[in-house]
Amino acid sequence: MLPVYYIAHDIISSLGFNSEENAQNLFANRGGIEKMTDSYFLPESFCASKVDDERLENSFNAIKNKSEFTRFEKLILCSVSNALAKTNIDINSRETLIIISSTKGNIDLLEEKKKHRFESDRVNLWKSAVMVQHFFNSPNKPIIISHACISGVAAQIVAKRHIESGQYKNVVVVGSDMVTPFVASGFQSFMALSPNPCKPFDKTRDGLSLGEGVATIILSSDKSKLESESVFTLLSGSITNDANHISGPSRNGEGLYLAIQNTLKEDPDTKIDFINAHGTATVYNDEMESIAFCRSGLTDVPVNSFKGYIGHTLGAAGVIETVMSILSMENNLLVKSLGYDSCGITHPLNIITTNRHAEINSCLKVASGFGGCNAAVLIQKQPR
Amino acid sequence: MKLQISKYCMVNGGQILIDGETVFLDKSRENFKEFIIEAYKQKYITYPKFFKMDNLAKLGFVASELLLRDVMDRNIPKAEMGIILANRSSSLDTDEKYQKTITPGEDYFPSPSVFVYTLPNIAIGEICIRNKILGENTFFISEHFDSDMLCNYVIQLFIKKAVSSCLTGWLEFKNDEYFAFLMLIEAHTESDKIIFDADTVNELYKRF
Repeated sequence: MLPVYYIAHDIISSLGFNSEENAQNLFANRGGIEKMTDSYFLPESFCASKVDDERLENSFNAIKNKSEFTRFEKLILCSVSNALAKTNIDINSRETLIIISSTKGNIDLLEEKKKHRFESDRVNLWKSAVMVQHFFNSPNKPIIISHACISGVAAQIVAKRHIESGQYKNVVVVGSDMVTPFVASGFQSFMALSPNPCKPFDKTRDGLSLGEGVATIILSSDKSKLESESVFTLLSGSITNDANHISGPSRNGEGLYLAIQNTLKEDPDTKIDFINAHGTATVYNDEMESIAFCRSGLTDVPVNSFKGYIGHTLGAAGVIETVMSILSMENNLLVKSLGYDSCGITHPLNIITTNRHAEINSCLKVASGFGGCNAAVLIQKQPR
Repeated sequence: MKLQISKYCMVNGGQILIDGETVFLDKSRENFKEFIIEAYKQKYITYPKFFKMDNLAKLGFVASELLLRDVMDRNIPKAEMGIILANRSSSLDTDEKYQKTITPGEDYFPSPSVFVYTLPNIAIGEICIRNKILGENTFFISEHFDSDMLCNYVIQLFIKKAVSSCLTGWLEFKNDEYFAFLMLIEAHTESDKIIFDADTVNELYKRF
């Protein structure tokens, strides 16, 4: 079986415009969630983590061509360009595939005021994919995954399978979503938004904070493309369904438990050094995760959620949080789970309450979403 | 690895076909909603949650019911059964309906029961709930039906033992235009069944 390596990555979020800047703020435990009072998004105030518009424009101006791009597409183009600049992987090669992960893409183009700025089919995800393909002059049609909040983890699993089957040597996985009136009002209608920055796994948690951003991961079967000191391998992964409820997580964590079991099945003795949870800070999600981790015998493993830093970035979350996990592994730093004070789940976990150094050679990253979907990946670090 | 199309279902233009044979025809209905409710009744489906679903989920649900009827009694392992679907318009039909509920002004009233269907994979979730299917599930978006990509991916899932059976195909709904093409894929054990590969699937899709 062909091994699949993490070759390069990038993040653009409220914490910064590249992986390094994101790491700096993350390791300093600085969160990017702010109170939003602009009634464009919601009649009432809420909390969200936003990408700075001016910096995005500046970054984009450095790479732009003569086509017009939407904000969603600019995020993707900037991040993919950043990641590609770190490697000699040829995006113009038939051996390189782009996979885009997003829940809502250009959904803001449905707004009355924005409707006429672009052609009417631009609201489609496939249309954004065409724009991205042309921008990078890629010979392959990008694959698009739109599978709720597991999209970014699922995209890595789909990428791995496309490399293992021998169809492609390299896959550029990019996950992006934005904070829009559409998603803000939707989550608010579910009463899922906290009025304060979210507090994953905490006793007083009362909902999620929305976030936006983009991240890119370049996966390859070719280790010689690597430039980092350590080798990160995507060992295994699995996607499952709870078959329980379309908008509520399963009571016994069955789907997530199964995804974890499938992920660990190839090597059941794998020692997991760190778990990066989905940890949205809704009452039900965090409780469900704690049950699934407990059933998997993982209650002692240090665990955090990055949602306290950047909110829930939806289709980007799985990619952004995987990069943050790799950055943690690279620095052997277990990063504090921001927003957590005291245990608010029935199956207590080993939540990371302050930054501490530890040898991290393996990481389990999980995600869950509407539609009952769950996903898990196992990442391993080895010296080069 | 040799795989077979154990059964396939198509829904389009007032007609439902199973393995190429028409099993329901009603071109008299004015819109999809009336057509699909009529199909639901005449095909003796009983599942009250059906009426709460959006159009994309209703389409996938009725197609999957007719496809999986008889099949699910065969003791297929539910944790090894996958659902891999694709379409062109994602959930945009419902997205547009939802957007109307959040137009600033007096009519502003975002509804959670509409919002939840603004994700295409909810249609997969509904089929999973109905049949207790726990396996691999992924929703892809592509401009046109891409049999190469979809078939190669499903074959890879079998090779990697991520699934031992799989519901796959195209599930598209936009502005009352609909097209469902769902197939049940299993290991090739019955000589009279069509072999599952990209060319065959493309031919079936085009023939309709």
